[in-house]
Amino acid sequence: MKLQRSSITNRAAFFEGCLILLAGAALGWHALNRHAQLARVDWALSPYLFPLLVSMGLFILGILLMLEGMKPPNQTTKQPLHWPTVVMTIGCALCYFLLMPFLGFALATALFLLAMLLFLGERRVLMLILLPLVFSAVLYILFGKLLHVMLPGAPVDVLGRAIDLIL
Amino acid sequence: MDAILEVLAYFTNMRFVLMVFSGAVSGLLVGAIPGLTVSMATALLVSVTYTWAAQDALAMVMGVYVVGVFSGALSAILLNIPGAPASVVTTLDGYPLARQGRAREALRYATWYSLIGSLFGILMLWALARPISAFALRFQPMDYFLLALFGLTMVGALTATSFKRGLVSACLGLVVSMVGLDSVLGTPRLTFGIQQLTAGIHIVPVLIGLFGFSEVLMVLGGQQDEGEMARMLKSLIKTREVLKHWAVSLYFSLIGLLVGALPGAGAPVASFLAYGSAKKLIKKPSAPFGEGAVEGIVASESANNACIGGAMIPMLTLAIPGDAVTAIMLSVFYVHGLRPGPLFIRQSPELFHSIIAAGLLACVFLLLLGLFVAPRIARLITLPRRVLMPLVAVLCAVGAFAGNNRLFDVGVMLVFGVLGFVMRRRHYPVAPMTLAIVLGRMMDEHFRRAVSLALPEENFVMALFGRPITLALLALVLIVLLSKLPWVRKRFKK
Repeated sequence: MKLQRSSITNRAAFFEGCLILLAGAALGWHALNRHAQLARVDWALSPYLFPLLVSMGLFILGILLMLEGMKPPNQTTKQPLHWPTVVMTIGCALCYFLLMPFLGFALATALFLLAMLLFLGERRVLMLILLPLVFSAVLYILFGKLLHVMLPGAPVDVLGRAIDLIL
Repeated sequence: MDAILEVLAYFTNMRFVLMVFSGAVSGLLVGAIPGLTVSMATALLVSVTYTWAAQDALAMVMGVYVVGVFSGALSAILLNIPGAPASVVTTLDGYPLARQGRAREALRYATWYSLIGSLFGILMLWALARPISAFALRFQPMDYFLLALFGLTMVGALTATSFKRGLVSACLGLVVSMVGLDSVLGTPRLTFGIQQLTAGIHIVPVLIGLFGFSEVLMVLGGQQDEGEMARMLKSLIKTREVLKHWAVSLYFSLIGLLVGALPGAGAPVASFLAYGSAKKLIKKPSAPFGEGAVEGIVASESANNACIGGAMIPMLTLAIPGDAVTAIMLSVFYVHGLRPGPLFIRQSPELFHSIIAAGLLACVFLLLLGLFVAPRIARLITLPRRVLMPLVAVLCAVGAFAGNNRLFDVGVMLVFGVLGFVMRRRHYPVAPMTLAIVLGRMMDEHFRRAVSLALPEENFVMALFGRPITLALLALVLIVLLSKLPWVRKRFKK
């Protein structure tokens, strides 16, 4: 079926529908395929019965969303979004997550907070120094020492080692 | 009588009182600061209270829940920004009152009627939980499956601008819930060879991501106004004067209780309904509605706080949460190896009484904090978001890590945080997904059990759906689904 370009008036909804339809199809295929590999298991007991049902639901919803994409979009007020802030926040959080095993919890937290505060426009020097250090130290003591959470440590985590020494 | 004494005994347990108090103070701050939500705080608490006794954990969660729902009114009145979605309606009359220099008076009304609503909800929970549990003992596996399905469709219907999007969110949540070892055969399912997924996707990092990190992204990317603080003049109003609306507030509380017990509707819907009925019911308000009528605050605050008890009734008796917070609360039970449901009150009466006691104690702290502390923390709620949000992001990371002591969960939290953000931007509600993740495994188990029990029977369909309770639940699910069909809606509109 060839779809006319002008018939899709709400592109985002249409492509979301495509994505959900594909996800449903992939889940259904996976469920059928994996069930076939299970030796002599009845569908009633199969671990893939429920995924198959959900995949059907996703498939139907995908089609419905695609159909919605062919209607004019509802007049909803779009909330403004500052994409650079969102991307930068996700990027900083990703770096924080990836660097934590190498820098240790306390140092990685302090650096993440410093980077975020600077990026978000905080310019008070005292705030930039004190907030990351104090907050990291409080969390390190609360979770690492009082709640006995095994926070990631590293040889370069000078902040964590300083707190350990003081305590 | 024994039950009353048992509940009262908790009032003398200093450790218990301290737990509720800590939760109440956290709830006051979390609810009042725009950008921090009760759901986010409860999700973070699950990870902190992981190693605690269940009683302590639930005491703290109840403190956060009861006071957190109330304190959303603080920023609603002072800044015209609701601290929680439940307080949106409070801004309509609360902020105009504050602009007239009567902020303290508006806060007094919000405090007293939040107290009445919360007390009503918790006392009704106490009274109704046992009979509902006794009734739920008759439920068969198919009934549980249909009840959970009804919950998911209701949440999808009530929380989304488009029903389809609500259902997509629920289906995605069901997929997430199925990851890990299958409970019947013990084979790995949807793990795709990733070792860390064999034990399933842990609920805590998912919830923290969906409610915490996604909120950070929404707030930082949203360029929202910080709000202008209304002045807090000392206005004198007698408590007797404030309390003269108590009788009508019980009616609004009843609306809140019923809406709260309905899966998915929650406090924002309850306060809107109560406000609507207040406009019809009260012919001569103190000022026109929307221009500083105290009756508007009375309706909104009694209804949204009564939802707490309402939402907990299906959560404790049927293991079907009424809103996002109770869905997260359900995970507190699971984390501590407890199973809410029809047998919960019979098997763990002491825990049920401790929840009631924590709720009642939280009401006492709500009154004290609302009257004496809330007017003084006004400056704190204007803490700039550029300072607050990075701190919340770190709390999300440490909260996700603390549950299992593994970095993989921080990654899961980030993935679900970004997913939650994209979903919210594209008008897919996250509440159905949360409910589906919590209920998915139970639905899967009950559905397969029902099908395998019905298979050997002569009439398969009758064996599945032949009982009156099952038929009634099936009818409920079909009504919700059919009522959303365009031609059905058009017919009813006519």
